[in-house]
Amino acid sequence: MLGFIIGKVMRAIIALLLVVTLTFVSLRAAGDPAAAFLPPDAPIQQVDQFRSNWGLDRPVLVQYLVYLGNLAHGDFGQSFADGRPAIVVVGERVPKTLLLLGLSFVFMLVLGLALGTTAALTHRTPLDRAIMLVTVLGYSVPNFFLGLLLILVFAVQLRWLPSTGSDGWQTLIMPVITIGTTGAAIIARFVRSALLEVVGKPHVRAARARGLRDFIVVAGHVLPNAAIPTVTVIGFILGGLIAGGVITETVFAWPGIGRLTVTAVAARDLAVVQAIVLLIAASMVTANLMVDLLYGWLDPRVRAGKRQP
Amino acid sequence: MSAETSSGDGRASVPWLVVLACAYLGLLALVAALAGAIATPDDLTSDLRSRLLPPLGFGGTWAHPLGTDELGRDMLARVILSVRTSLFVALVGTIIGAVLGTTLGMVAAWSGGFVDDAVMMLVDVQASLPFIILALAAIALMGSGLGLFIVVVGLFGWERYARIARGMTLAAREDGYAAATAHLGGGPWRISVQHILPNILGTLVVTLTINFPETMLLETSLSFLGLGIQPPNTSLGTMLGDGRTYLLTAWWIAVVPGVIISLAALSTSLLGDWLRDRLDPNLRR
Repeated sequence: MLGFIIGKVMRAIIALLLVVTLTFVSLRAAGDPAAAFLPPDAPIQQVDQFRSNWGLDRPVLVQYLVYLGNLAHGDFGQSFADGRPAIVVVGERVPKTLLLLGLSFVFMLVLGLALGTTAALTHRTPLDRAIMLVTVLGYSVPNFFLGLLLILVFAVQLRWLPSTGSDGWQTLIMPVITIGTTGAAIIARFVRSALLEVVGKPHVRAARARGLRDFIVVAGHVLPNAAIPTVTVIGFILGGLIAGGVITETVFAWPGIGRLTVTAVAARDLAVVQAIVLLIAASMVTANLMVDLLYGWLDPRVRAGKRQP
Repeated sequence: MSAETSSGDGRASVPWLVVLACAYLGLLALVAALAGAIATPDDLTSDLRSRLLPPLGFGGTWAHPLGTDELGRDMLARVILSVRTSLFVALVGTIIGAVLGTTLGMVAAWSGGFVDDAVMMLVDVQASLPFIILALAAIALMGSGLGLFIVVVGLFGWERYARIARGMTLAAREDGYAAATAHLGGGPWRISVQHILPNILGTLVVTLTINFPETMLLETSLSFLGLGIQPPNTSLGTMLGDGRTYLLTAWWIAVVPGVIISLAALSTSLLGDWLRDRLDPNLRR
């Protein structure tokens, strides 16, 4: 088990280092960083200052190590949009995004599990078919359009909810639905097929044969085994959550990381974009690592097994 | 395939829905192919006297069946040209990703060692970042010219093809037919292209049908954010982005392209599900 954990952690660290290296290479390849980070009319002293701060007058390998050192100290450079350190600009947006994505995650998990379980338990009935059709619809409507439709119905026509902003729980409802719907649809379909796969297994039939009630069979014997494949999609879902956040925060003018990404890209504020990319990469790598470890803990075969081709 | 013979999990593989989906996608393809003949940029001249006219059925006239936008441009002509742009970018993008990924996967499988490790590392990195973030970072670095934008969109999904092509090439190398060709003096290139590729084509095509709508959604999302297709070119995403501002007064500017995108994604999903069941029962997520 220890070997398994060390292997996974090493892989995560290497992946993260690769992202950092790629960021370094692409920032250098994009041209003179001084020209990119500083306004075009920056005085020559400032350019020199910048070069020596970032060690641009030294060999590339040294530059790379300095870059790593700076990142380790939380120095991601200055945002040229407002002159503050990029890490501060990004950091102050984190709580709003965590709130939104956290609630969306809970929403999609609850809705997806409920729909998927219901569909599996009513397999081959009209209800099952209806749920499956709704889920196909759910992941076909792009979230930017879903967001606009919600605004159109609940803010413009019915005037029940505010269309933008981030004050009060009402402003959370539409963004959470917008982000969570696609994920809920994917989870529902996944849970359904995972459940159907497990239901036919001998240990479930044995449990039924012992006369256990349906609820006990499902909760005690079906769900734990169906959890194994479901855990593997969580990393994938997290990526979708972040991507959905970028769009949805823009649609609803939610002051989080997603909206900051779009404004920073439009303004070509590279320090901020870089900080966001590395922050997201770090969270994704960590999440995938947790999923891998959880997977190994849930399924003993993975711990012992070989690396998959 | 009828509903009775469908696989055990009873996926919604109702044939008439698939037929309908094909018909819709065919219509879109036809519109895209003939766009130049039925709508010209001249149809997009602005006419401020007839701005924000509603579509037919909501008080509009036959002069502008889908209404007009904020500059008085005909929505129908705009939709036609946008469908062409969006389908073109998605198609070229999907092909770039498929060719790149498959090639890298096969090269990795044949080379082994360092090359194999390097490709698989890149696959890992790609899988660890939501693609839209990578695309946004690339746009921030290099700007959003049309050619560059298509390449960025094309990179989407390469890692899936790479994984599949690598795995299947590794497996096929051990099979009799590949070994036989090798004994007859066929090199890796000949074996890959003439013998292995035809065998894994079915799986790759299924992956293609999954990737195509996602590529289209990526393009429309980026264009919606104002970071993709730039004026004077117009895509369905650009239209939606414009329509956002006029939601209060002219809902059709956003709703018409939104419905077209959603139906396209829905159709490809239905078609893809059905194809997957038919062509490759093993490939289920």
